[in-house]
This record gives sequence, C-alpha cells and structure tokens, in this order.
Amino acid sequence: MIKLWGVGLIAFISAGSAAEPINHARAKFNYQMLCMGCHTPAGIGNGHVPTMKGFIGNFLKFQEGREYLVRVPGSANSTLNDAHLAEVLNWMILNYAEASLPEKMQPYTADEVSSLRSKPFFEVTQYRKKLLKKIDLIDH
Amino acid sequence: MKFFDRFFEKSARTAAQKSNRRGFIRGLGTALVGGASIPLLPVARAAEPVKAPQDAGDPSSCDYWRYCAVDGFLCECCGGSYNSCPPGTEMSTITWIGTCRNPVDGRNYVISYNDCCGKTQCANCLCQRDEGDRPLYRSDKSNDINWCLGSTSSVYHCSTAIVVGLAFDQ
Repeated sequence: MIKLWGVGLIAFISAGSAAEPINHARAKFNYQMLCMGCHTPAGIGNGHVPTMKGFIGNFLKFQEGREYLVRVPGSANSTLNDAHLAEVLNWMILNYAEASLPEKMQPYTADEVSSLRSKPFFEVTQYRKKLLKKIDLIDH
Repeated sequence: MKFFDRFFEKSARTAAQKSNRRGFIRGLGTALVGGASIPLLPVARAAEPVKAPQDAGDPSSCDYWRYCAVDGFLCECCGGSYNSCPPGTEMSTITWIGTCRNPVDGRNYVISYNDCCGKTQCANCLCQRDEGDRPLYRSDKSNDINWCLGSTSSVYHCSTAIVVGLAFDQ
C-alpha cells in the first residue's frame, strides 16, 4: 500500500500540473458524505454500483475514459464546486486505483472538471459498456 | 572429546553456582506477565486507526446523539445494537450518510445509517428525527429511500447509526 502511494505521489508530482494539492481530510469527508453511501468505504461498490478499487485508474489511460469520470451523474450532478470535485476525484484515484494507476497520472484541475461536467451523460450504462470494451483492448 | 567434556562440566558447574531454579522460575514469570501486559500499554492503543468518540446517552432512546437523522426502527431495540444488525438480518452495504453533533465533545461526526434487512419490520423504538433529510430528488441525502435495495433481501427491518469519521470543518 505504501509502495502504491509512493508511485501515485511521484506520478502526481512529475505531472507538473496546475492541480491544487489535495487536502486529504476535506477530500475524505466529501467522499464519505457524497460518494461512500453507494461506493462503500473500500470503493468496491455493490451490485449495480461498479467497483473503483484496483480499476478506476484504467479510465485515465484514454481521453474518453478520463472524461467519463467527470461526466457520470455522481460527479457531474454533485453539489461540490469544481475545485472540490477535482480534489475528491484525485483523492479517489490515489486511494483506489492501486495497480490500475497509470505511470503518468495527470491530476484533474478545477478548470478541466468545470468544462467536462457541463456535458453530463443522459445515458450512462451503455456508454460505460463501450468504454469497458476499450479498456479490455488496452494492455494493462 | 575430552575438551568437550571439560567444557560442558565447567559451564554446568558455573551455571549451578551462579544461578538457582527459583531465579529461573521468577525470570520466566516476569517474561510471561510482562509479555502479556505489552498490548495493554497506551502505545498499542494509540496506534489504532479509528478512535471512538466519547459517548453519553442511551442508545435505545431516540434522543441518542447518533440518531439525529434516523427514520426507522432502532436496531438497539430489535436484538442488535446501534452499530450491528440483529441475528438473521443482513446489513445493507449501501446507505445514506449524514453528520451528527456529539454533545460530549461538541464535534460533528460522520454517521452511516446502514439498514438491516431480510426480516419484516422490527416495529420497536420508532425514531423519526430526520435532521438533514432531503427530498427524493437528492436521493443520496434522502432517508425515505429503502436502502435495503443494496442487500440480498430488500425487506427493511431496522436502522443502525455507525460513526465512520470526523466531519471536516469547512
């Protein structure tokens, strides 16, 4: 776990992005209040709620997947402002991606989140299936 | 071989002169009792990741601080407790989450209201405080949803109130 954190931190730093540093206490609280009820404390989901643990990082390996994490209803319709939504997304990726975390991880910024969440999905299930087929083709 | 004989004879005699059997038993006793007491030292407890908040009140009463947003029957009165399900029921893994203020330390804690499912309604200790409850269009903040939909059985029995963390002061 510590090793994975290390990899994640190095990736975050090397990305050289304008993303704000994560306030872990705030991010965890926002996850608990707005995400955990369905995604569960371990990020494993339940039935119709897909698992993020050991998987969420796969969506960051291609542009459509990266956009997906912000355009899904849970993100796009959230009451969080853009900066805090970016923060909780980055926090979830650091905590749950594990081996799926890409080597060059580009954290979300408030500006990117702002632009993407303005195009929320109306139909998400079929879109997700399409993305999962693409992920299957990626050598991960 | 003579060398070994002399060596062991000498060391055995030295040990016999310098030590006694009671001393060994005393040493063994000290090691056993001392070893057993190590987990009781505060250092071990401080390493535990989740610290339970200081508590006051009656968990079988609707006034209990953790129940500030409950809408249902208290598991404490149904054969379970405020953080565990009664035998024969299953805890829903999906749930709704809010915060309650602990009167003892004045801090807000994050509470997970996991329903217990799989048996008909408990019908004891109905508690409807509903603080922070929102209409169904904010489904993640509505306690009118049957959260047993995440369980094997969607039949609601009673509600728990589990502290999952400290609230962040915005």
